Amino acid sequence: MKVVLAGQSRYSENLKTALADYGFEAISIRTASELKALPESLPVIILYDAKIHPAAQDKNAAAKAVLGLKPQDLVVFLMDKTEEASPYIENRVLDTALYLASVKRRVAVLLRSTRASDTAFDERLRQAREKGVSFVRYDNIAVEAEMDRTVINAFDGKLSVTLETPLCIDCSELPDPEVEAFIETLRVKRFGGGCISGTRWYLTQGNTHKRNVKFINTIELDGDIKQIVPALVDDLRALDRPGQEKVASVDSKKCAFCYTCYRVCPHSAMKPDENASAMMVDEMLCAACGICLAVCPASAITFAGGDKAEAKEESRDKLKIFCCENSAFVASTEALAEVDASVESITCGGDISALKMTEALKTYDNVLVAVCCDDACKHHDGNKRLIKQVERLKERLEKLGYDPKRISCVQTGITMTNLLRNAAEKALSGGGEK
Amino acid sequence: MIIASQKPLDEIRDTLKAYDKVLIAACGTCVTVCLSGGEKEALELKALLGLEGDKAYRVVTPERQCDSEFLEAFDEDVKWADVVLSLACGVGVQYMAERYEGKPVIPGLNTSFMGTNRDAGYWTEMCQGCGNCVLEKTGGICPVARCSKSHFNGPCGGSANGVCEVDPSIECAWQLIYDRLKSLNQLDRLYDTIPPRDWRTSRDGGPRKIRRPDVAIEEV
Amino acid sequence: MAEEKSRLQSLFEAGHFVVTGEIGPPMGADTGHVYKAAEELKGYVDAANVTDNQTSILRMSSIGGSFLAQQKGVEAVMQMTCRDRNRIAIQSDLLGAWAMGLKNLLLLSGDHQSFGNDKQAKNVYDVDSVQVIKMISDMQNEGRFSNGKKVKGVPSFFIGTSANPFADPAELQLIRLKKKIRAGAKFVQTQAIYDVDKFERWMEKVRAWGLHKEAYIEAGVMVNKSVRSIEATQMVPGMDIPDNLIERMRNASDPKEEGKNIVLEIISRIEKIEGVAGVHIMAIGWEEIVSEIVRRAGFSPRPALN
Repeated sequence: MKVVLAGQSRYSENLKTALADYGFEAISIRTASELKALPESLPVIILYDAKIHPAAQDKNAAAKAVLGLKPQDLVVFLMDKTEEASPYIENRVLDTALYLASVKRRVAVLLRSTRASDTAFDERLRQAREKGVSFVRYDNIAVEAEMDRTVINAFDGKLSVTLETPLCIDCSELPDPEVEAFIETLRVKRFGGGCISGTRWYLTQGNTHKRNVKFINTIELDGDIKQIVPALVDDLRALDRPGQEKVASVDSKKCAFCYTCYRVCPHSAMKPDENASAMMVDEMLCAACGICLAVCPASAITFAGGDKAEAKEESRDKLKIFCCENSAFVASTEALAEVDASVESITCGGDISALKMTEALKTYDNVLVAVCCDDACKHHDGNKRLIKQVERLKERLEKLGYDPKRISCVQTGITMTNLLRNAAEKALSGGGEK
Repeated sequence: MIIASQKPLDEIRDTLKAYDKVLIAACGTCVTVCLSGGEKEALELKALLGLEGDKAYRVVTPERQCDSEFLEAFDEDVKWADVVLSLACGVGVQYMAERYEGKPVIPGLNTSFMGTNRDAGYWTEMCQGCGNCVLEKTGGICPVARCSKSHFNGPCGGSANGVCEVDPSIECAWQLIYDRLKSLNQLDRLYDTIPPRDWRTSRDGGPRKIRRPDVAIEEV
Repeated sequence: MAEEKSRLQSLFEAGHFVVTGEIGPPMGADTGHVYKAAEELKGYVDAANVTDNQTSILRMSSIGGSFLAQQKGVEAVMQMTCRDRNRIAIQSDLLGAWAMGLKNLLLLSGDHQSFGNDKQAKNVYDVDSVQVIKMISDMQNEGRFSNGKKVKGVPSFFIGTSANPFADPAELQLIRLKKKIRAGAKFVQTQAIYDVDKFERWMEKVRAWGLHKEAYIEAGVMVNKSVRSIEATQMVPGMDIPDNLIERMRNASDPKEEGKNIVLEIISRIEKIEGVAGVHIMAIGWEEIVSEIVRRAGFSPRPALN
């Protein structure tokens, strides 16, 4: 199997070798135009080294930056300002902060979260504290740069702290035009970035919405890269099984070639078939979320292959619950065991059209759709799409004189069983008359 | 492309009151693409209106309601129905009404404008079909359709920061024209005064016709 | 038929710094409203604009209001917008207006109907403001209507128009003003000026283009009597009021007095700008204040004509 390594990191070669041990041929490319020229069904891993302000990344640069400051001057590292820093950046900042503290500088690190769940990181924080680095956690922050100093007001929800410093180092990740070009070329909608570091590794896929794209941002490896490769290989092999899962399929005779599916598909799986004047599905990319089925104005898209939908029980005439397989359906076994309702698993809230909900209303008094929490959707806001669908349907039902409460939705997670149960009970009792 | 939006459901329901058998006719071209009257919308309407359970519904989707050849295949369905709820633009509704004598044809959409699909779920007006295109003078941006006052010789005094005085969500067409001509290095065109229009080519000359004698079968 | 030039035109041509006022006709057929406003302005302004359904609020016509104002001895500047009339109605109404003795004409595009109380109305815009100026100017010069037919009894309006020094895109607004002047506008009234610095910069461009030599530029000013009034003015499209002026009104113990002070300061500055040929004072609904402003600005008494 082939895999594309796009971009360059210090550990590109190591990864290439490690992948080769598993029989993968890694194709290294350096530019977005090379990426464009490749057959598009190859999995892509983007590699790069994150860049931040040199004074936060590099001890020598930090030493230079504090030259000329008075001993009592505070040096501030401002982290997570625009978004949460990656573990790599955290480590770099902690290293430089520790170094400055060790040469008797007053150092404060401002950060949004301290990731209490991560013991290795906790350990590093503890060491830094012992060396005299101050940590300030904040929810909101106001930074005002003046001529020779910066005044920072940090508020953690309860208390606010004002810091004054001649050297405020912004530790936001600097944009990497090369990576951005890759992202652009792949039409990836949300880029989180993954990370490998000594004891931890992250390969971010859920954020990419493209099944064959994975990200590794900076690999900072104290250990052996081989330890992460088995998991990566599993993921890559899973990609190489087209046709086993259900995929969307376009009836080219019905397709109006309107590009709506192309625009809304979170996985960039739709591509124009110029010969047929219709859209076609790139089966490698399709995640069968159903969003295109729900929006297709010509009803030209259906699912081909195995049907995931399975009704637990049919026609109890009371309540129909559509549960997203990634959250609510998992929770439903426990949450809905005692609830008198027909539960159906769906791939994503985005898959539920007004038509499906309305048709369910013919049989059931009430319909509840349970989808993922805000950012948890694996299909780029398919959950929010559902919420908007429900809003529109409620309005339309009301226009016709029906109780809009007959349709409701809830956002829930795998472990949020009470929330789901309450929503179901409310739908059962609070719903409208048939 | 013709852009339309669906009429309020209660209005549609009320117009259907007197009938038992309803043929919902979607249209497979413009209104499908603008998500207002394609098969999906027709099925959705059928499901919603059908909740009442008092009528029979049938859904058909001619490729275009504005060409008779596409309608032929549905003659039997029309015969079956007491009424046709057409989800086509105003053209399709009228053309169906013309074809099916004695059969009421009711519009399900409000035909809105000729425009473009800027993004998923977002359409904007671009052309008014005034019959005498001036786009070559205005950098490809239409002052008739896109200026709220259809000014031909520059913006009114209500243009500020690129926004029209009528509504901040409307871009000032003349700002767009200016920017565009500037980028084309054609600002000198703005010094020409465009004289008053001959509006006969527009709706003001009465309903318009176009004939192509070279294509016509019979002499007219 | 009146043959002499209007007072306004004569004063401009004689090189006087002209002062004009503004009258908003009533929302009804009541003549007293216009008479009263005219009496307040009489002797303090050289002429007064009578607005044409300004901000699209339905009122007595400008023609009617202008006629009433002239009955009380205030020369009118009749306004005519392109919003409500096609070329037939515009030319026809102007013939009637001229026949009734109106001599000054301000041609405008008009505020969009969405600002007024008749948002449902259809607008016309058969011609735009540049086109209408050209159309009327040609009618007067060539004695022919826009349709080519001969005019029997050709009017000779002193034609003016408006300009907004604060609207965008700045260069195109200036080009449009040039086109209006080239089309036959002989005088120009600006949008109310609050930001004098910005107006000065605009006048620099006007002078660089030589527009002040081709038409008389009258600077518009507005008198605000309350915080609410200046805040409402700020909401008008194309208005540009510096925050410090609004603050001054808010902090003033006597906002009426402060409003007068502000306008007098503005007048004293714009008066000195090269190329400004007059000031147009807008005090709709507060016409009685105009005499005081004119006196305090040192514009009283108004020159007499020979």
